[in-house]
Amino acid sequence: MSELLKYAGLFLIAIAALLLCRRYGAYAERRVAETRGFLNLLRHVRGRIASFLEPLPRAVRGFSDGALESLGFLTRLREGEALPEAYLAVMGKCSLGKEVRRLLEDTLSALGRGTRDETVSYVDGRISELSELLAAEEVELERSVKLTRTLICAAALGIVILFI
Amino acid sequence: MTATKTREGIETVLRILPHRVCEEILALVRTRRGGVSAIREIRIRADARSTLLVGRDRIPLCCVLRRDELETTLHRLSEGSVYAYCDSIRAGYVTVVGGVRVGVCAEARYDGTRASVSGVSSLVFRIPTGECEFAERLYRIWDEVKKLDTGMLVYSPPGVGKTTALRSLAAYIGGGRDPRRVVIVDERCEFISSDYERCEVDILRGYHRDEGVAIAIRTMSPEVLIIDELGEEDAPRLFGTVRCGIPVLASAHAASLSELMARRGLSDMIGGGVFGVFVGIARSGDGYSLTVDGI
Repeated sequence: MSELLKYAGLFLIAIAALLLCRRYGAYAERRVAETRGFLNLLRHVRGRIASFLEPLPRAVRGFSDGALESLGFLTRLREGEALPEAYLAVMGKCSLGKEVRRLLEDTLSALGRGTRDETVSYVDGRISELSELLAAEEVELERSVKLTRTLICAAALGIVILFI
Repeated sequence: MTATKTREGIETVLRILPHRVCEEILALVRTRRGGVSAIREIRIRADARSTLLVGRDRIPLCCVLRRDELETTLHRLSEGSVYAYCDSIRAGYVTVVGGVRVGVCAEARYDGTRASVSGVSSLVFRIPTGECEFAERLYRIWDEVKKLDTGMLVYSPPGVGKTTALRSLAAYIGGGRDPRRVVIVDERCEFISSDYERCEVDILRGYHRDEGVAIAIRTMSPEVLIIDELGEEDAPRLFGTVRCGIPVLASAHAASLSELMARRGLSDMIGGGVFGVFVGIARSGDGYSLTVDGI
């Protein structure tokens, strides 16, 4: 009986570790998707400003992205909320990393305060910073996927060994 | 422009204004006839007294705004996108939804001929009045002008209602039983497309007048061309393009015909036959009087 309980306990630990890994993997995926979404938004806005000199509410209107959509961020923008306010409102739901959060908060609140050239070069700088952060997150995501796979294999192997 | 739209324009302005001014204004007009729709002008100043024009009464406001509150208001006016409004702010105004023109009083610094504007000290929100009271009279005059195969210039001092008159006249000319293709060159974005949903009216918004006129003639085949607030500096650039057989309906600042004629650029256009009829608008008692010359 105690043997059986030991096996059950080990089995549960293996399952819990597996679920945690999967959860972390999903979080890392969401984080990358959201960072990519905001990066694409900045690129879109940059293009609209550089080419058409559109005010921000109009510049963001035609943008779409699955991750930002599911956050409700784009809906808020479509309802007429300003970029910094909409961002602050959905920040609690975001899976973004600390650095990305800070960068976006600064960028969105300072956006549009200068002339076209100033704004475009400012956005360019922020785009390259965000691209670097995204690249680092993608590496981390890859790592977490590998870790999850390894842990799944190890857990499966452990369970098999336990039952042999 | 309907009363509903005037109200919408005021409501947009109230959303943009600093909260404490907005509250004071609402408290002041609550007891007045017409409510918020009677507001004609809101003039806010940094570190000085702001005022409100309701009907013809100028009411001083109690709250004194700080300079940073005016800067924030201007930022809101430019939809958080100063880059998109730079030229307009440099020219001294911003136009917001509903055709509300906001005059910007600030400090300019010149680098050659290019001005940089900062340190906003006052903002003047001019709310367009609703329907033009004398639009039908003006349309009857325009009917006569058509027969003379010439253009019509509407003049008055600032704030009397030239733009509102042109807005209504555009709807009359482009609508009704015998609509004409009207193209409006609206450099200051004060004409609203939704006013002309059932009319033959196209609006070139934000274009410089000379460029707008050239585009209108080249691509829109207008039967009537409307240009708001012709300035002396526009006249030489416009002179060549507007003399192409399309009747021009325009407005200009002047208190009298002699004042109008004294402006060299405009007098060249008048002498060149662009305008043959001149309509002066003046306030008279509670209404308006029109002075017609040239018919």
